[in-house]
Amino acid sequence: MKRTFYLMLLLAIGSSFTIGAQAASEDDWQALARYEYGQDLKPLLAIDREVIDAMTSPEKRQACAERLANLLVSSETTLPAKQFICFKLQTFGTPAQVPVLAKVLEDPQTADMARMVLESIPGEASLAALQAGLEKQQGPLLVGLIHSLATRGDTSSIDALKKLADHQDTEIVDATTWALGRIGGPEAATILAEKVAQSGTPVPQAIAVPYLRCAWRLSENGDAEAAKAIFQRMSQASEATPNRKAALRGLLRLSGEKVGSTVLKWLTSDDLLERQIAAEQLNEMKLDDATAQTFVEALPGLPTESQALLMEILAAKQIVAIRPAVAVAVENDEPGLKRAAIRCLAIVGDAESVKLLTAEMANQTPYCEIAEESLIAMPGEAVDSAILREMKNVENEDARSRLIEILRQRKATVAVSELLTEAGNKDATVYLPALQALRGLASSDEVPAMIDLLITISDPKHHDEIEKTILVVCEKTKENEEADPATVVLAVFATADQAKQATLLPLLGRLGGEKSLEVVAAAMESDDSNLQNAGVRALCNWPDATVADRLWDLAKTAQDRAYRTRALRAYIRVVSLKSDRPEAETLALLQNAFQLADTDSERRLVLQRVSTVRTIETLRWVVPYLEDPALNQAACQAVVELAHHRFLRAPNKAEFDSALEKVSKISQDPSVTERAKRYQLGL
Amino acid sequence: MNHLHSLSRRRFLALGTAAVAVPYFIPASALGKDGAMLPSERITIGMLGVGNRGSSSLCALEPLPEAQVVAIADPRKERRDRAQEQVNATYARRSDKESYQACDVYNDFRELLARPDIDAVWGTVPDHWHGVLYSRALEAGKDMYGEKPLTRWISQGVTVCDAVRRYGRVFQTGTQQRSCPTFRHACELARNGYLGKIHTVYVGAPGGEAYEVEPPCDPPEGFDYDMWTGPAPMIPFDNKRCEWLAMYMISHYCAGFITNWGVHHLDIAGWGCPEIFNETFEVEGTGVMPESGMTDTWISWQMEYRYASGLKMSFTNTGNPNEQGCRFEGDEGWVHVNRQGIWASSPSLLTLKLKPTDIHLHASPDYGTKYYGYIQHSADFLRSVRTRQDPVSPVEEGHAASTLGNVADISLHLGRKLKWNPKENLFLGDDEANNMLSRPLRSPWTL
Repeated sequence: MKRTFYLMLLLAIGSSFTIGAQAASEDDWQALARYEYGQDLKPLLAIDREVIDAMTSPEKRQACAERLANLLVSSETTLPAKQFICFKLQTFGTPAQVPVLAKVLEDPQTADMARMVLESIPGEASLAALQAGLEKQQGPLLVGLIHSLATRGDTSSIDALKKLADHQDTEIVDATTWALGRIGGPEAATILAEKVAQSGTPVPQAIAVPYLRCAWRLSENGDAEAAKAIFQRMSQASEATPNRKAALRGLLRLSGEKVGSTVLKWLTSDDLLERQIAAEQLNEMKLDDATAQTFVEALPGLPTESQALLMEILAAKQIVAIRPAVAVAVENDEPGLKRAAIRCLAIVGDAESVKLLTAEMANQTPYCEIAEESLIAMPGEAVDSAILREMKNVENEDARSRLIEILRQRKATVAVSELLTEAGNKDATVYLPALQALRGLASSDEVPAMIDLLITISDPKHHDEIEKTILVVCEKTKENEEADPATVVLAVFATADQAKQATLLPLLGRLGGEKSLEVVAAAMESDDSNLQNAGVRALCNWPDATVADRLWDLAKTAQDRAYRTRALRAYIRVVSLKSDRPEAETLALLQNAFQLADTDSERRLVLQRVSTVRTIETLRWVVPYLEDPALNQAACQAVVELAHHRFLRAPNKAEFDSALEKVSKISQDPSVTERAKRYQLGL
Repeated sequence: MNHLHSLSRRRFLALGTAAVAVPYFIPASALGKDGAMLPSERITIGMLGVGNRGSSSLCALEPLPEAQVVAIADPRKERRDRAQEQVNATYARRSDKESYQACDVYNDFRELLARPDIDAVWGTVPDHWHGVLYSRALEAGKDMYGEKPLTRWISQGVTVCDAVRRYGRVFQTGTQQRSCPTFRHACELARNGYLGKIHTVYVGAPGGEAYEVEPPCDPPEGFDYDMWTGPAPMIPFDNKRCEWLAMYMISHYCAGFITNWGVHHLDIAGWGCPEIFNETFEVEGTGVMPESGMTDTWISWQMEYRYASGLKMSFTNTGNPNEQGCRFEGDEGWVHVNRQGIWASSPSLLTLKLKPTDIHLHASPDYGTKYYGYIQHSADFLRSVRTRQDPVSPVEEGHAASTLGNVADISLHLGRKLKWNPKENLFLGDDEANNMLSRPLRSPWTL
């Protein structure tokens, strides 16, 4: 609507302006004087144009400002018009308008508007008018005046402000304190110091913030001693933490070239906050080699807690010169230091450091998790080889599986051959991480070896994991998006005997593709029952809907009930996968499957999968099953899954609300109930 | 593994204990087993403003277990109550409880800032509030995610930058495009010379809109309009001025899309080409403003920025003629990026892998590409709260990006070419322009 409005404005009356457009008419000036809130800004925008145009020459600016100022004191001019005029004068008023504004400042109705203009007009006259106002105003208007003088930042205001520093109105006192902080300088600092002395500890925020601000101003203006005194006062332990931190940072800034030694000193302080600030400062500092070396040399002489902290910061800055000190600290009995040292090895460690960390793992010390993290992070290929050597030697199966996981996270391809051996280990705690690692690290060259492994493993879970691993590697290593991921497996299949082929068929089903389908179809026609059974399993493993028709035929016509069930479940799965098929058609396919199903288990599966069809028709189909005791929990799940999508829920709110109400009453799953309630609330 | 190379904030906080119970380095996985964080490790959050943007912030925080929203401040009762309900429902679900009641609500943000148990605040308030509210939050010792533009007026931005450094706070500017890999890639191409020497940067951002006038009326019950108005001039309430999108088109509250939206792509321009932020430039151009209605900010504009080195930047509203987004043109190629995608003079640029010796810009945590990096940007801020390192959109760069829009606005209001010195935050030789760097604030608010 707004865009249309704008376009109509443009087309109908050319009603936008560019710089240099025609100035305001007399009608606009008259309309300005009568302007009331809620009226169209048209005449005001015309004046705005004139103001912009006037800014291009001092004469025009003066004339325009004068005309607006005259309107400001006219009794005919409305208050909203005066407010607008003051906005304009804020940006282009001149000292010539100050007398008029000083008069307007005396009228309570317009005083705050005038105050803001005077704040904006540079020069002595406007400043004097503001200062004079201090004695005449009170309450919020006086607060505004004080803030304006703060913005002007002129030290000549301090005398006048000083008189208000002990005013009975606390808002005026707070405003004055604030203003003194903004104006700054030695005189303001003295007044603020008195207030601090009177306030007790901790210094209230209304005084602390301007006091600190004053210190920074002093520091910027070169009065380091005065600034330091304030920072020292505000860094006292009794002060509020944010203000102490700011004061300590101020002190560090003032320490100039001595910042390094100050940091070192504070790192050993008993004061927690000093140590924090020193650490933060060091963390932010860019260290040259010489300065870094100073810190490295200081390390061994520090108390253990400070040593740990400094070590970490230097490690974070990748200063490898600390490595010898870190290696010593790993052997230290003090837990904080030892922990820090182990962590530091993540950054500054090398192949030689690996044994230190694997020892923690093998001995299952309280530091083994940190040691693992450091092993994962430690840089360098030599570290991969060192971890691999340790893995071969370690006897503890749990430690070995952890080292396999570390090699996976390090993407250590050097370990692939050893991982293939570990993938054949009968112990799941070893073969699972090994296979997981191979999924990330193996190439197509390793697929034949993995197939050999697959054939030798009869344990179904182990077998399944190997199959999934080959699938992942084939998908990952195919040459391009269109390439057939089954190519390597098909090559092995072509030369395999029947038993081996039967083993490979379910894997080919998982990989899919036209060529795999040819061999799967042939197997299903085979006289060999093993091959036939493997062919059906392969078809039911298919990754997409290209075999939907075959699965449907099998689900309807297979003699073997187990085949029919398996095919129907596979059919339900593949037709509900994401596709370009119209949603209504997918819904119809799933409804057909529902009709064909002869058990509630398959019907529930349809209800679970149907929520992938995000249409209101799906909801309407699902809702009646909320009444069916055998199916209603699956229907509840489907309703909330559909409701999850705002684009579907929002335009069909009434229907969803009704269904969600029912779900929240009958669902036995608390998470489904909670989601239903949330969606009803529109969340 | 760069994410490991920093110190944890919690480590700093834990320095007083002999045995350190938490890890020293950043990785979230190290902060608790199985990716779940210990409650003591959560960063407690206060939300300042929960309107359109604030609600999005809450959604962005939902998948981030390291954050826990414990308080909400908003002058609209209906909004803060709704947000409270959303937060409580989220944490009830997260903690597997039937209900959760640990998020407090406030009308006055100062009460929220006074709570010492809040680590960080999210500032999603109208632009006219940014300067005052961000300063107060930083002075109260809070880390801050502050929505863009950094401030409505340039001088306020300087104050906020000072406060961040003086109080040692972490500040993330809400220019979240930096947390999208595509935007980062475009900037890395520009930074590392893959486009040759950059000679021109084109920036396009949505233009403004005009709105018909609305009669004044009483604010809805539960809406503290005086607090909403805050430091801006008091104009009687009507049903449009506090709402998206009209609010962004009224100069009392916002400079218009020339800054408010423009800052997103101007920020990318400066990220890819730091000269745009750091060097003195001349700016001039033309603009179009509505002639009637209730709004008074630029609907369309054509600005040009010129640098001493010969670099130029063109900034227009989308289609006038620049396309939406940011386009770097060098003498060997170009790249154009916006929220819809990234294009380049050669396809190989789009898949180019940086060399180890190249400049690698700050990468936010990866949460996919949804919401133009909003979740990533939030996660990056939380990471910085722990590490005490600057996040991807540090305050000075948030200020620099916002200033590029604000100086354009000032140039159009003065109708002349201006010269801006970013180091001094001043126009060179133009007192009238410098007088427009700030605006008096309504009492009792101050900076």
